[in-house]
Amino acid sequence: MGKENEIKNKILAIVTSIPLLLGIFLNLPLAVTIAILVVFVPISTYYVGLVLMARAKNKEDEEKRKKITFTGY
Amino acid sequence: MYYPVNFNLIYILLEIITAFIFGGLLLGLHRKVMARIQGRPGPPIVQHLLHTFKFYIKELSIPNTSSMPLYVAIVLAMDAVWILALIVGPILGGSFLIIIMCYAVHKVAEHGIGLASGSPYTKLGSTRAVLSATAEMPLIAVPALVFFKTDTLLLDGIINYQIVNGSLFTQLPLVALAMFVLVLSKTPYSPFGIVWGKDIVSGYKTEHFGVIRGVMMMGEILAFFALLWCFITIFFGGIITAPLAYMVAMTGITVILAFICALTPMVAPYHAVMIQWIFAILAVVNVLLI
Repeated sequence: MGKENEIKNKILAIVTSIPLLLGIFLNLPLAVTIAILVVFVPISTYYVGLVLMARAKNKEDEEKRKKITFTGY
Repeated sequence: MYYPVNFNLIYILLEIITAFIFGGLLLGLHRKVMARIQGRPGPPIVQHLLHTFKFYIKELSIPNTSSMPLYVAIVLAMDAVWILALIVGPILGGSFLIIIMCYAVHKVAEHGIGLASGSPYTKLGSTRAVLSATAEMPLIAVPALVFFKTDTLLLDGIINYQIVNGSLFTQLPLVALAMFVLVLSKTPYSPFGIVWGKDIVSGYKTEHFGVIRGVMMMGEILAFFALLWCFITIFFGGIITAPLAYMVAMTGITVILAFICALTPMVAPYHAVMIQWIFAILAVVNVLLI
């Protein structure tokens, strides 16, 4: 994944998390709350996942990743 | 019924996270019990959750043959559907019909996930998703029969009916059995789980790895939790009310499901349809006899 893509994913992760943060701090009506959760939880989860994946590509995190995978289970 | 006008987002979000963690542990327990029955040590109970988190730091691969927007969007839609079901069901005690609708849309999502990647295995999985939709007769029979009995499809109303008239499980045991088969068909390694059969590698999930698989597993965990919650609420709603009682009941049902999954081979697709229709017809007979 290119550097541009990583920056784009970081921006999208922040942008899609903003409605959730707003919903926490503002007292929104129920319909708006449900709409925010249903639309933005999956999308922000996806973009946060992409950012985490890009971070896990450096050597140190790669080691951690291997530890999670091969714990002898 | 009364819906609070200003419902706190953080409260709902915490409920969703709780459902995700507990649902993940239940699926871990399911695997553990299955393994013990089959004479294997099995993975730790937290393994299903670890597995989900692990996929979040694994590289995402999107096949060249896939339809990229659909490949990602349909998985997000599956998550969205079950988040809606959780809000409508356990959190608001709203309409059972919306949860049934979520279940139906889940089938559409399975079909879409299968078609999006372009792999022949996932396409077979998606074809089976359509075929298994014809098996979901209990999906229509259960809400209809519960409505004839209780005159409401609001979950709060169904709970109130059971507080006054006793558990629906004792009044409509065969309808409960039909709903149980519905829950069973959504359980991993189920005899009715033809959409992710190992004969077609992993069915519609064959090509999904990395972040997108993590998101998909999150949706499946929420789906398992929501369906177990619905089953307990609709048939034991008057007896089981406290959160701890719900947790114990969900654990008990998961163990029963694990026994069935461990001891039953996956049935052929046409047999899956036939068997589920038989349970739906039994449910109708139950209501006619009463």
